[in-house]
Amino acid sequence: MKRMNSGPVGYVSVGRKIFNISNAVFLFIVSMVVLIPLLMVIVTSLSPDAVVAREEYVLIPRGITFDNYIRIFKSGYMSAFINSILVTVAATAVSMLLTVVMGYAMAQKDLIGKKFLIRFVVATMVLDAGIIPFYMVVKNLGLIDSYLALIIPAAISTYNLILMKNYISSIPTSIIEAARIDGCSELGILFKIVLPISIPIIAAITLFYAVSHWNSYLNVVIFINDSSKYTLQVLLRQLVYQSESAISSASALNNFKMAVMIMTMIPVLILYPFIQKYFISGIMLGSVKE
Amino acid sequence: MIKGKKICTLLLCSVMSVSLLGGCKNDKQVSKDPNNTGSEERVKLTFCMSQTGWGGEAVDPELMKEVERIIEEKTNTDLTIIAPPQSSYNDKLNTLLTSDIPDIFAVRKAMDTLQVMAARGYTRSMDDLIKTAPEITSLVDPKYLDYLTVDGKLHAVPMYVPLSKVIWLRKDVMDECGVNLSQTPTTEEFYNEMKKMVGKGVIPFTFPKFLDNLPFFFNPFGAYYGIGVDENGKFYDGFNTPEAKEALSYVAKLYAEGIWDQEFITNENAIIREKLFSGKAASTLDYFNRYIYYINESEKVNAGTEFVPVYELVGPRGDRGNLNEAIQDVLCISSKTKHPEKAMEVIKYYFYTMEGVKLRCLGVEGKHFTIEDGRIKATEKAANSGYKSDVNSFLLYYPKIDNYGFKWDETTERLLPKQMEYVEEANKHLGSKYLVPGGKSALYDKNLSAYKKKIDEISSKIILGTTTVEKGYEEYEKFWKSIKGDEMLEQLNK
Amino acid sequence: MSTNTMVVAEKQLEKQKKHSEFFKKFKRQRPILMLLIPGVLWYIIFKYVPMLFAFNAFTDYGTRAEVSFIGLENFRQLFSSPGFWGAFRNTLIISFLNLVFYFPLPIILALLMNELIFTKLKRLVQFIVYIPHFFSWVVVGAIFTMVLAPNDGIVNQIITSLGGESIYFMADESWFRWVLVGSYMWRDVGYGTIIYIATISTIDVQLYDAATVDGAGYWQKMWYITLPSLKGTIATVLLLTVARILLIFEQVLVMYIPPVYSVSEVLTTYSYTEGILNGNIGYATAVSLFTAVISSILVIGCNKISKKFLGESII
Repeated sequence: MKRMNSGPVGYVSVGRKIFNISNAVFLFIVSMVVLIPLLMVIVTSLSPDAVVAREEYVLIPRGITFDNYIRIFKSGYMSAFINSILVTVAATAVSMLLTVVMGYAMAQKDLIGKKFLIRFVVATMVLDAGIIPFYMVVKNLGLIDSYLALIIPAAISTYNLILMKNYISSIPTSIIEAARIDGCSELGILFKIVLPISIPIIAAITLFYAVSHWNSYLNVVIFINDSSKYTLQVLLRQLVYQSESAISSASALNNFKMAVMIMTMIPVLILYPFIQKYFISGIMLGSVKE
Repeated sequence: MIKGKKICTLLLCSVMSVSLLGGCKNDKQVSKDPNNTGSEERVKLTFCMSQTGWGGEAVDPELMKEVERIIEEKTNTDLTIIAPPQSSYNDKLNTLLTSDIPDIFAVRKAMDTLQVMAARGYTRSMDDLIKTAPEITSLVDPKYLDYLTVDGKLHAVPMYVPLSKVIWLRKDVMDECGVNLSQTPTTEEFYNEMKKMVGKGVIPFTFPKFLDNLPFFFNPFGAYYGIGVDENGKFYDGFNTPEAKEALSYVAKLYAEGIWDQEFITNENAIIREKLFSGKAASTLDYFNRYIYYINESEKVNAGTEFVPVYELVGPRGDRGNLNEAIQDVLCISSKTKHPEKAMEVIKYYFYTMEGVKLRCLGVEGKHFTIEDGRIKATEKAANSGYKSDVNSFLLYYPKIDNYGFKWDETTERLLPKQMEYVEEANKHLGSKYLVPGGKSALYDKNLSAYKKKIDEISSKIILGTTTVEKGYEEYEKFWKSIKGDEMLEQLNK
Repeated sequence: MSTNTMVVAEKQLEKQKKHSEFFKKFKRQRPILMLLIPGVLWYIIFKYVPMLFAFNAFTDYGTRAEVSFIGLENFRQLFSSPGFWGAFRNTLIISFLNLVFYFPLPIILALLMNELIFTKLKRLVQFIVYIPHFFSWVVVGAIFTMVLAPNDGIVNQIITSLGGESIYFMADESWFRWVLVGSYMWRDVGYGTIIYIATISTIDVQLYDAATVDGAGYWQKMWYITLPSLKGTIATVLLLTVARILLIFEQVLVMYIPPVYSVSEVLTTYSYTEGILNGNIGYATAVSLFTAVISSILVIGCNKISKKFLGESII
């Protein structure tokens, strides 16, 4: 636990007290601004049809019904759910592997061609050539309609890669030099020194990748043709937007749409607390032997 | 060095396991039909159509496969179905078209995009195929097939009958406010009667954010919302006419006086429907086959009432006409297909035979629905994946079903005759609709979307009252000049 | 004469030294360079090869069945189209607003959350604040539409109760850009704090203890310890943000409506509606190429600025 915001033990000045309280109030307000819409979504998803048809969104519950959730569970979405989980886990694993390794390599202070490499990588962020050439490449690799098309083409995010590189290069060189003198190989340094110290950033970036892969929608629609391979996002979005269609006589009231939304969010929300602890407490750098 | 090897093996292992994962999913789908020993080579076709077109709008992949199986049996083909979700249909289709054009594919908003598709060489002419398609030619009005011709050749067939929209009103609110509207009121009458509903805690008339619904209010003034054709067959800018300005002023008045939904510009389609059947709004513009839908939905949310249509408004000079969407969704055959006749056969079966339409609207008996006590009932699986067995959907197709093989629920059976009456009547009040050929004017092809966005923008600002008719049209004229509009018309009129 | 040979010999010796140093470095770094291979390959296949498609900016790809080279015609069309200039202007303005108003927020929020003495609450607040990121833009759009509705929306109810007139924010040209910025803030501020929190968590506690011993107060600790250690991360995130900022797309596409087209049409939506949906893919590619050039200029500029202020360039 960080103790940086407590002064000498016991004494807290008045000014500091005021700050602490206003800070807490401010953060409380911020949380409310965020929480209230979320609460609205949850309450709406549990509200009966008659209420939702009139009011669109409900904040104060007027009757609770789990019908919409039951409807989702009973439908064939469990298989799409499993598809999503498989793809997300595999894609995140591949992404992290490539990103950590490449980030470590790029973080070497005197790497040959370092400047060129960094520019090579960042330059890809500015041009959005569009989905068509991307599709053609994936097609020519024969990956269309396979899950590999969801895992490999989206494997590396330059944003995450640069953040990883940035973090690793901020590790004090003294530690690394010491290991080198001790006779550790370059790869050994990666495993024994860098990775343990980088747990906060690894946790954060794993989260970023997991969220991005889980939310992936357009890629699935474009690269997957077989409906039974559709992930949860795709299948559920169709249900929700059915009633938007001019021709369709289906109707999806807000309670169902909100239930669908909650269902798509829950897995990643559950994941977060587990990952959070890794970048909150961090590592006591000072305890690493010099 | 050893560590290096470790890394490499780790990498290899993960790549292998990941590809196994991907491969696993691939293999599962290979064996589709164990009975088909492939004794006779079935023609392979790819068919791309939105996810909700495969049996009562159910999106469950297994249920879709059932429908696929039946179509394959009946047409002796081996289909690969690509069914993207509706909201991303165009993205997917456009991507597919650049590399593997599906043998059969659906195109939306055909009046605008078919020309482009044909110009890009994606669609195949159907003139030869239509000759051997009496199912189609006997049912479809040749005028509508004309809408689908490019350079004199037919490039698509319609999925549905020409669709039009009418105004649906809630009887309970009408009675409460003493509103008395004929089925084809004048614009004055409409204004006066609707005014009675202002301030009574209900939105008199709600409207979606899609301004291409405005023609319902343009037609009564003899105006056309877009590039139209005049009596001499010449193209002209329907938006920049005194009649159009009159129409917009009328609507702006409806808005300013609280008759028109103040929040219309952020209303999705689903919202206007909900507002109407929940009683929040008293009327809206919607498709001609929605009578039973509104009655049912309003009952479900304890706001049941009778619904009454208004087919069209009649303007000061006697002009009239409802919102005619004509043909929007069509089916095309790939220009690169090796089996055009088979492709046409599939289209004919699924959209132009009674059996095929039943399959599309209801799905497969035993899988999507069962018949209990002579009435149709959805299976649990279907019901939970968006399935809707609805008589309204049947009304959209050309083949008319004489015998469903079961009875609908009581309400539907009772109301069906009235619904049919309304549908027939709506078809007698169709507003005008013109087709501008693509490929004729480079300026038109280039500027069409900018033009449409601009007329939407100016119209919305005039209606909302954020600008006046004069100022709005000043801006519009500047825009027209910047896209060389007059030159564009010249090119079209050559 | 002997001095000349000596100089030449010296130069040669230096060269040899450099070569052997280089080889030594290479030998040492070989395993690391091997690690780079899969990543670099990935970039080539999935980023640079598709980029070759950009040459279609000089063709009429998509408008007819055959593709032909039309040189700078697309660009001529682009620069003479008022819609394009409007989109360019809007993109710059909205990006600028996002940079000025959105960018500092996650940093401030991360610092404030860090100062929260109730540590259990700290984790809870972080968790809550990051949830909106999961709402897709469609849902965020729907939520904001509702909250900002002219009659029933909460915001307008507050305004009218204070005596003001209700504003139709989503349809108002003078407010809509703020709606875009505001919804972006609401959705992504929490998510943006994660990277800063992760960086703060690595600060050596001993630094704070030493500062306390030296008599430093809270603000001094934040100013002299916490912020400087975030410097590198902030600069990096800034650069990466600038690289992508002109590519704002889905948010606008989902939320914009006809009355506000003129203030919110951005380069990407322009390219999408008038290029891709129209079938004119060559034109759309020309817009993308133009955007890439401008983004590159911004990135290089940002890099130079950070070099000046931080002493090191990020790329």
